[in-house]
Amino acid sequence: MRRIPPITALAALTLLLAALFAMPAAATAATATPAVADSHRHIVDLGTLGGPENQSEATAINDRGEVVGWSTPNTNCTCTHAFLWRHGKLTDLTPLVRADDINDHGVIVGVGVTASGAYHAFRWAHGKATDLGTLGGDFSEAGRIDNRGQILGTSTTADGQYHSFLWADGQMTDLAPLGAADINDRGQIVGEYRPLAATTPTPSCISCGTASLPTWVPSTAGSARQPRPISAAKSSATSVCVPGSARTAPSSGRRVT
Amino acid sequence: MTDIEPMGGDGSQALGINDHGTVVGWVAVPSVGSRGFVWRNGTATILSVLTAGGSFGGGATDINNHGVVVGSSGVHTATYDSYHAVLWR
Repeated sequence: MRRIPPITALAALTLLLAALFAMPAAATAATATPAVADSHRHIVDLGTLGGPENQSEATAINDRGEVVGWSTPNTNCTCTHAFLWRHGKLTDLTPLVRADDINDHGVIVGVGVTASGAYHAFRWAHGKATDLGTLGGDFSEAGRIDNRGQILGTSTTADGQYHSFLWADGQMTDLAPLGAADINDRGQIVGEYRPLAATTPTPSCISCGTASLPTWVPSTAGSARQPRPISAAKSSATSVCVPGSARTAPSSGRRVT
Repeated sequence: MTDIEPMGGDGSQALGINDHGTVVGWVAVPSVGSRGFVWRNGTATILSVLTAGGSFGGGATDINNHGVVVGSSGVHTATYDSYHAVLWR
């Protein structure tokens, strides 16, 4: 799983990295590092679930060495199924079509297909898939889970907007205007400020009200590898830090669905 | 700000970081396509691929606190090119 390093030195490193990704044009003071082949690690093929295209990708690994991702299934459909790789064995996580994260307790999140054919955020735990629902629209997906079981994702609202959500203790909370990218085990969330009616971006982590550096991480959210509807939305590069438990986070003036 | 571009090449993206500050991602490598990289303490290393020569390269998406990296790698055969999920350990 992807967790935010808890100590300040690493926070500083991730701050640097996040700044790099948020403002690539400003990445000029380069200290380019030479690269050599990684001689310490050996590659292991995790295989696929089958299918004529025979494709798969691993998206996350936890500290128990369990890996999740997506694969073409052993059918002729042009679809994908989520998988769990554990002790050398691939397990098909249907109805999930893609798994995006797994925490150290083995709880998996991703996106799956409902009985009515809609794509919803799903949680997979102890062999059971749970539909997390939506913020009122017909689409959602889950991208991150922390070791407390708190889940970050994206959902459409009743009026068709894409909002980030936090799911905790069975409740889904709208995080708008935060485009959430990651959550750590302290419930701190990072991401982009995405004003629904964009004018002037609102800064940001200064409002966290803490003396320590805000903690940021790079993220796959909205990456080109996996098309995500939210990535089409125009958003500012200004990042928002939500301090403390995310349960107290959405106090920034937007409605909570 | 630290540029962790491993090759000074055509582009790169970091996608995962563990609690030790080790970063993984992919980098565009001229003439061979993309490759996964691991960046730690200012040194970048390039991850291997299952089979080189196809139209698919490779990339890393996550790393755990034991240093095990996951991602995908190109598989090049006589009949198809594709990606397979892989781990590097």
